[in-house]
Amino acid sequence: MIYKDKKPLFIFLTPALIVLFIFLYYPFFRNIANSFLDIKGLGALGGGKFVGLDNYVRMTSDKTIGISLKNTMFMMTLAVVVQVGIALILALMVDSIRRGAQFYRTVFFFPVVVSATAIGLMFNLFYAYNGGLFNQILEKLGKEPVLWLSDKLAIYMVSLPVIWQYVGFYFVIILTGLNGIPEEIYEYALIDGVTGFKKTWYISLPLIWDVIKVCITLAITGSLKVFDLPWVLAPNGAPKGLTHFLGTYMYFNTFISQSVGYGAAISVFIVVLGLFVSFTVNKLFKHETIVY
Amino acid sequence: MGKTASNFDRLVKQTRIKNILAKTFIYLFLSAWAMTTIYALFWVVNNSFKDKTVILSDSFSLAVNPIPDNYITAFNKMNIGRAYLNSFIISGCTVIFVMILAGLAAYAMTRYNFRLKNTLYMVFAGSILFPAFSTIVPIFKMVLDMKLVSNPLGVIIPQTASYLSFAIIVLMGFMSNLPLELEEAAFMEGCNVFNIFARIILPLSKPAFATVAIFTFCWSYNDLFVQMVILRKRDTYPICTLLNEISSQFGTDFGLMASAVTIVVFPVLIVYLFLQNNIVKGLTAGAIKG
Amino acid sequence: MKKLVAVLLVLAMTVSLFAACNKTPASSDATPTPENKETSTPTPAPKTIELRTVSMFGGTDPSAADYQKLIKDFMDANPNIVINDESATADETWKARVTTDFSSGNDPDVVFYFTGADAKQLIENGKVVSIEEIRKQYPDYAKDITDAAMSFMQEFDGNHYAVPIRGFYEGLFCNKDLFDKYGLELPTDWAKLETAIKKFKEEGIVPIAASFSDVPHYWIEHLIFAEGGYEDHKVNPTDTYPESWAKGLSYFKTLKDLGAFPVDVNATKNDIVTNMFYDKKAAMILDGSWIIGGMKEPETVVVLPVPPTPGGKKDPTSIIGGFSSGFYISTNAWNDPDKRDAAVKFVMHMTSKNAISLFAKVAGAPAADVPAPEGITEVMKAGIAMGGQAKEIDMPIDSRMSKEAWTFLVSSIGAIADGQLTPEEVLTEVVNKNK
Repeated sequence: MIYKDKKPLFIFLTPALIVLFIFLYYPFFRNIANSFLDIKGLGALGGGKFVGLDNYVRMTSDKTIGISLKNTMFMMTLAVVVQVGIALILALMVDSIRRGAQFYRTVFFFPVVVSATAIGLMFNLFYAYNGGLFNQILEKLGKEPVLWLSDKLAIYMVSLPVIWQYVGFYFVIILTGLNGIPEEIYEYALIDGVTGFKKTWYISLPLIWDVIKVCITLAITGSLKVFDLPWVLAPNGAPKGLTHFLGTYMYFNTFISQSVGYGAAISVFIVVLGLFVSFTVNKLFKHETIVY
Repeated sequence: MGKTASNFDRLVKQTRIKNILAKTFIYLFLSAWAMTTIYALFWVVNNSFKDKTVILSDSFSLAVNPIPDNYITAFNKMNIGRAYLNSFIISGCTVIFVMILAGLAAYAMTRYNFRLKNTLYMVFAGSILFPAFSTIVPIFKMVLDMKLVSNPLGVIIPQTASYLSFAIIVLMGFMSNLPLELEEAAFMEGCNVFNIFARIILPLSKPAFATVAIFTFCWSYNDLFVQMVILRKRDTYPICTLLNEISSQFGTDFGLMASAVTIVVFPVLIVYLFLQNNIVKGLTAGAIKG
Repeated sequence: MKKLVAVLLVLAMTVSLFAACNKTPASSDATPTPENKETSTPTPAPKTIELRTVSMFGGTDPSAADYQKLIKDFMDANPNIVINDESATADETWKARVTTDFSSGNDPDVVFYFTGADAKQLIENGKVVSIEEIRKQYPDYAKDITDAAMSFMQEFDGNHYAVPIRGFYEGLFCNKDLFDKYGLELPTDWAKLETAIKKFKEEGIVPIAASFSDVPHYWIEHLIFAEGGYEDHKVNPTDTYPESWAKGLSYFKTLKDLGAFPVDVNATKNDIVTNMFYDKKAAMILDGSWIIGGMKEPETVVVLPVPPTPGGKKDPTSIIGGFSSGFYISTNAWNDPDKRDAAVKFVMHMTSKNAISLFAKVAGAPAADVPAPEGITEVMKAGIAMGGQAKEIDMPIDSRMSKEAWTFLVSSIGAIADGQLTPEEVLTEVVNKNK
């Protein structure tokens, strides 16, 4: 009865919708329009020749797009399996202990609040061939120094900090979900003799399945947005463009190579890919939600 | 009855022995992961107090005689105070805008029933998928036309737009769990919806707002991409952009780099340590179930 | 050809100046610089004028300190003018930033920037004022600049826009002490270069400091030049590319296979490898004359032209060099009645004889007739000699090609050196993007 009168609705919703439409939806559709133009340089914004699907056709023959796509999918797999996986293990462990839980929670989440730029620079200091942390460790052990950003290793070394940084994020979300499970459920389980691994597998996991699904979706959309860390760690996809992600390659084309239309086409592709993968995953993971 | 009890006791005893082993393993594993975070940070801070040549030869030793030279160089070379100020103006305003706009919208979305409600929900949820890459060029052009290049507002408004949807959804999750009774009681006493929002919903939703504030602040403070494109005058650089520039110019000076990283990380670390409990509270309360 | 004569003249003049200086160490010919007169006419203007300046004398640039000092002097002499300087190290990102700044209405008032292809967009869009235009009102503008230096500043429309301060040359810098230590001859021909590479490689010294992921620019130009000679290097490949370009670029693989470059050549940064050379951890580096400013032991370094490849058409003495940058005044500042005078004053201060001799101290031929810098080092002598003997001098390739084509070529070098892409494949694509 309070909310029968619909007039205040406008006052509540309009400001948010205005900002959202002008600064998110309009640019988004404008960007789609740009992807059909040939815009030479950011100075030529607003103009540009109509070239139809040329920019999209160009993507099919661009080898670096292939590499970027492969790397992005690789990052996505790592994010879903390794990142969310480690986060889940850590959360289950922290949930099972009493002493120190607060300490671990603080420490694990910490990298999330640090800027990716700072972490990128930090890992630069770790990977440096001469005098980097990793090679100094190897040296102490009497081993040969390793070129961490070689053709073969680079993509793993660039992914490592990205994955490492956000484990804490999913950890906190999952832990929160675990804390929400009522204590009685575990007590009943104990009486029935369900303990340890079985308890986790048959009780905890199904109960937080929704939370895990949220994490997986966030991990997927997050891995499509990866930019800062690879850009600082290996600018221009060093070595040889092998560590380009769709995001960094879009930036390279738009802002360095100054072919704005092509960059727009890549960013449209990023969104389409995101929609497609999220949709598929949601279909795949369709699962009865348990209400408790 | 007795049978069940003895069975229960036996189980408890068994579990206790297993528990000791399991606990040891658990603590080892957790500590190992914690070390990756702690040692990484320690390594950087420790080396920021050493001369660059020492770092190259031996980065593990404790800086027994810490030298402040790297910090002096960093503060001399860059206007770091100014950059902190810029960062806090930008991120502070973004946080405030997001909280106001998202709070109002989330309240309306959870309390009112109207025809376009589901469509609007899709509008909010859908925009979370847009990466900054897909909007940056047109936004740059708009900011250009509005003469807001190198103006903090040129970053604040687009950032507000891109974090808004996340905030609305988190707040909706929380608010939908708030009991209606309080609002009804207030309504009986003659409060209108605006009063209800300000006096009841806002105070009750504090944990959720804190969550939104922390995430928005961190994202905004750490967002190199939009800042790099829009802010083009050096005296408008926030700390992240400045750091990126330091690295491209003095990348070979490990000591200076270590001190720069420390300088950037320090304020977020403080903010985080003070507000961390709210992150969990806010997420627990609704974001996830919603 | 005109340009070649011009550079030779400038370089020859520099040499003769140094020679003169050696004979008469007293500063008898030290004419009072007109700059003093300028600054001694303070116009007590009540209004404070702010000028935003952008230059590439930032970061580790050896002239950065001098540049800042000149700005400080200028502000001391003109208390009503405040200079907000934004200098950074010049790389592709920096260049893109400057052009975007101009196109986004965030025009700097004075900018020290490149000429040629890099400046074309600015000139076409009327973003900068020509010297001819400025001289109508300020006849003394850029008056100290020699005609020879000025001739490099001529743009496609026949006008001049940038006021140069110093020329540059590119060459193969060698740590001579390392060559002596291992009994090696300096790489005056390709065979000696290969011998040196092999020996240094064995001794655990990086033969050539280079970074393909950051700045492979010098090697691109010089390998093409070494193979194709002056004529082929001059080509702007819009329809097709000369055969010699492909052959030249194929030497990336040859050199890489010999182990000429650092292990992390594909992932390191230019600053890091430059330091390697400074610290004597690398024997050679191909770079521009500005690298001299940072050298710790300039007495032990010499510079040579890159030797022609086996069968290459380049004359062994020919080098890449010239004048490729200078101070521009933006149209915005020029049209602002408050800023016009201040901007002109600033550029005149920065291009006065006094300032030019400061900039030239680091390396490169000064753009005005100024006394030689004191305490000339071995490597500078070698540089002057190299310039004096050069049969031909050409500007770098990237002053001609389109941005997209050039960035593509730059980003493909690592793959060429590893044999994952053939030079032919890359150049075909370069031509496509350069149309």
